Amino acid sequence: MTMLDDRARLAVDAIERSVADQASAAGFAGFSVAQRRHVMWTGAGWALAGSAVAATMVVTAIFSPSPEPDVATTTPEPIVVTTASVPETTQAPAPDPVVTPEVAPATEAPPTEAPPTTGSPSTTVAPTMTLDSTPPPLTITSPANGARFEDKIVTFSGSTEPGATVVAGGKWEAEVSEEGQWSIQLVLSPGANGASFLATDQAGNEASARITVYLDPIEPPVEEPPPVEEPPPVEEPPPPEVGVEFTAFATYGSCELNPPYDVYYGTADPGSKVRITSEFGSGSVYADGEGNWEKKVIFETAPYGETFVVTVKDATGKTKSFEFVSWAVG
Amino acid sequence: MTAQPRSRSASRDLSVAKEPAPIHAVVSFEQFYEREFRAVVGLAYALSGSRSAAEDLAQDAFVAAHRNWGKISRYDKPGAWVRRVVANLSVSRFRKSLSEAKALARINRDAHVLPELPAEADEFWDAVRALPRRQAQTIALHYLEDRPIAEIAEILECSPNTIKVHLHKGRTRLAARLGLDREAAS
Repeated sequence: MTMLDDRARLAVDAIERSVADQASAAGFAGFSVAQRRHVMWTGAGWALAGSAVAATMVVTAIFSPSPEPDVATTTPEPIVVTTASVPETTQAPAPDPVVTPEVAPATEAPPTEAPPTTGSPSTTVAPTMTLDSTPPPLTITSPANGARFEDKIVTFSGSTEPGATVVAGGKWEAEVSEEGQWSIQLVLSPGANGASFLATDQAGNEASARITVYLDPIEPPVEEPPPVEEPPPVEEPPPPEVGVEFTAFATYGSCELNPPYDVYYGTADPGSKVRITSEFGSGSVYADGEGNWEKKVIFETAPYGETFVVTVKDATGKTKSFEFVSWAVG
Repeated sequence: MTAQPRSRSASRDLSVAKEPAPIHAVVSFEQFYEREFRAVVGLAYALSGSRSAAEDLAQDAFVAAHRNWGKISRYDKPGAWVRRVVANLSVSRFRKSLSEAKALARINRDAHVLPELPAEADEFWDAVRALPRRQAQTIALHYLEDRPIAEIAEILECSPNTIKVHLHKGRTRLAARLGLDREAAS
């Protein structure tokens, strides 16, 4: 299957290139008017938009502050850490950690930019650089380590150095206020959840903290069905009759034809057998689905002018008798 | 949202939790959209084979996600939900036709279709789409998104064992359709 996997890899690459090439993959900004019509930001939330023009305007404003969408940018821009401007005076800046240009340790130092040459070269003095190698403080004020929750969404909060970023779980960036207060909502899984946070200051110094919290989801209580009022007793309808009443009739009672015969009919339990017997001829028949039956019985040897009894009997033993006379002339 | 020790779990030894579960953040719909849209379009393209409809299919899935965002954002993996929707939409002939019609209606305005795939890649995805529905979805998620069995099972709401069977049969049929089984044999 290696060849299949190789082939699949090529096909996957082609799909990814195709999607990446498409401007719309950069976000709503690259969408067509028709697509933008689907969704718009209303300020309070997303809603279907009836006006393509309105949707285009609003969506563009939200997702594409720049009129030229950047195809390569598909994720929100990272927070840009603004470095302090280099003072233009000849005095060295005060050792304020916030406004002092920071130089990161060599291993993780962001490239330092040359100071802007806004002033006269003759009056510019190289600024004093303060090495900041102190990790930012990082505290988790809420929740407490080992806390247990019943709701899966929990807000984690704490404090760090102003200007630092805080990332949870290696990829979820918390909101950090100007004062360095951070918070982020995280979704817990049932059981133990390890929440790790990494604070990175403007100089690239890092500090981490980790707590474990627990989610004990409440099983929804089994609601007792509301008590059902006893309905008033209803008179039981008479039970439906089981089976069909046995009846039997003779069509003629006598016959002048040769051979003589009679036709018997009636009702009986559907599917039950009805027997017709006599000294000179017999027969049997099954009642149909509705309980009807009919049978022609020939009395070939019946004596001329002599009356005899024909008995019809159902499966339960009920009987009905008839007399038959043959007037057939031989 | 406050920590409330509960009687039934009070006796649990917290120190034994050596491998805490991964944790993830609640994201806004915009973040979710920006992060997932491209991959979902790719999945729609692979499963529908329509350059014009793929984005509309993905868009429909995201609109559905937005309508239920209050609920879906609380899922452990909202991305799985939207992939399930688009996987089902993409293999639905009716929906695909509808999306193509919608896309065609705007092609003349801005010629907004995905670029054509190279012939070899096109042949591969054609063969995937010729597989039975579940096998095609499994293969697409396996190759396109490099998803493990458990995640594919979660997305398609099947058992992992079922996904294993789909993957095995799908790969076997795919190799046969592409003539790769004969090459392997020779």
